[in-house]
Amino acid sequence: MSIVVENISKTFGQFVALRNVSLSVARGELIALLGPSGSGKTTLLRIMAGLEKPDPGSGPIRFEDEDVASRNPQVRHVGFVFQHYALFRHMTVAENVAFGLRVRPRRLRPSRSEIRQRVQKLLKLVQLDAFANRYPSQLSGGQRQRVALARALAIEPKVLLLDEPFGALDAKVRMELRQWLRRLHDEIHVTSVFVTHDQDEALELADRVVVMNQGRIEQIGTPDEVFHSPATEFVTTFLGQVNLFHGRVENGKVHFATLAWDSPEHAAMPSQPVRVFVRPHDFHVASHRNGAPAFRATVRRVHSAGPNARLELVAESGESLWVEMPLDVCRARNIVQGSPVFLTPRDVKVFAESPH
Amino acid sequence: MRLALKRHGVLPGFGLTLGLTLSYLSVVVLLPLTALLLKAARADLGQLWGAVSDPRVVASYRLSFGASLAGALVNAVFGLVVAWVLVRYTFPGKRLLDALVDLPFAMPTAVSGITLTTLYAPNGWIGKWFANAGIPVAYTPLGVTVALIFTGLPFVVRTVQPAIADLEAEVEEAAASLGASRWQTFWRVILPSILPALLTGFALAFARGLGEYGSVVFISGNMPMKTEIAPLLIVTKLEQYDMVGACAIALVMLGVSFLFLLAINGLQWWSRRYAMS
Repeated sequence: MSIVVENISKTFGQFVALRNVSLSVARGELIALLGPSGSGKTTLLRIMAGLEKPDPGSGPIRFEDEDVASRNPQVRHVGFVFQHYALFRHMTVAENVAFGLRVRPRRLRPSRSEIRQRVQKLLKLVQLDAFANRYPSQLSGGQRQRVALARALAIEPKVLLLDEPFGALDAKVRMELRQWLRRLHDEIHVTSVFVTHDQDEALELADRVVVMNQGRIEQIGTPDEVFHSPATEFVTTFLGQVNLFHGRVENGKVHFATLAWDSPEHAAMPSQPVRVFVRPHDFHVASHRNGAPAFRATVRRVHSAGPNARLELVAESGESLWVEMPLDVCRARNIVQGSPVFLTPRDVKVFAESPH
Repeated sequence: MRLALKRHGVLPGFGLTLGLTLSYLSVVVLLPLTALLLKAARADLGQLWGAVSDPRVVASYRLSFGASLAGALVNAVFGLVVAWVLVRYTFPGKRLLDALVDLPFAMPTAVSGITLTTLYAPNGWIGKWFANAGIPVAYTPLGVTVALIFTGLPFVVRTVQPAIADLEAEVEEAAASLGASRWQTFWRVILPSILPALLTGFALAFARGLGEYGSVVFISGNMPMKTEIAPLLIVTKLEQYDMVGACAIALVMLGVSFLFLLAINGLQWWSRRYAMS
């Protein structure tokens, strides 16, 4: 089932949570809503589920071709998974999963034995068939979240919405559950939207990532697109680490640090001050000038724990910056604290200085 | 045994607080009860049985337990509604209403008894409507129940309120997204969550009803065999210097109440079985 929302706005008192947001999710897709807290991602998800009403004047919310904007959550057939599980603590795992089937009107309700079979099947799917008669208080966080997922899937939802599903779990369980969810999605192919503030989670799990900031969508794209071709300064800084330089664009050249960087793609840009971003791994580090355009910097510290060396440097022009390079290369070039190095950026992102 | 006790002692002060608890309970609760038992133990069985099997006493038991139970049941339902409204909604005058709930706690019971009697008497503001409909309230078992509803209300409201406030909004949203109607959500999700608190409130209201004296004796009219409550009979016996009779009636009340409270405790344990792991 595809989801289309158009021109959705939502305000809570003075606070504007969403400003004219439009988004379409294709059938069977796994989409991440990624953004910092307060960016409106959870509000958008809750509006899709019907748990929150958009402001008057907002556009339609279409599931396939039906506008469900005026419908209650009860009739939207949405599977919703909450950050803190929201399990019914007085019910066993099996009763939790069966809940959505048991509350159906009599003529739509499957028979008792059918319900039991479906619950069994779902518990097997989430690998909890041995825990059917436990209470939620007897399960770990990761197990509880899988129960919540099985409960949401029991009603055979048209779409699955997950609000920070791994947010309350510790790092290791998070990682496992993330990969497990991806496999599960590939298996059952239900259109899914999940909210996260963790860029690794979004980039690893989703088919497409929707980056949100201050109630607006900054960019929609595949993980590759949003990471390598960020559309805005916000996306650049939010997805991974960056080094910031204040520079100028003039006649197709970007001037920053002590460098004049040839940039044909900015040839059309009028001369103006710009902000230049370079990711730590997008530098070539040489110990001598070798003819390539480079600027000089001094190594302040070398962090060598891990597969990559992380260098803390000061550019000749005064900026502090981080550079990452393979540890063996760093050792082979004998780069240590105090070494002078020459940095050649491989990839730079340039955005006009926003007036503050 | 020493070791077993020590094992609980992760938090400091276990020995001190347990000792205090035991001595406090002994002085406040156990000592008077023991005195009661000792007094009764001095009488012979025939005398005791004669006192408790007197038809007038049996009728008073029936009234005391029946009216307390009815009052507690009514309070369980309406106290839940009051608590729900006080927690879930905001409206002008909410704080005032909230404070009003405690009034039955604070009012001298005789004052509430006389007020209720005036209101519910056949010529009273409320009583006359009932009298017109052919249902006398004051000086009947119904009147006793009304008085016990009045005194028991705060017990239910005050125990259920925090339980309702603790309910997670997300759990109700989960139920809604799974297709449950508001009624199904209340019945299957909310009520089971607050049931332990509701049972506690019910038990407290019931126990209070059994012992209530001041507010009841005015509205009941105290007609032997009809509207005489057991505590009143105990006082009557005492005034006649019939210590043994008073003790005997008290012992039976004590025993039955204890069994009731035990049963309610069992029910509570059952309703909280999910929390045990």
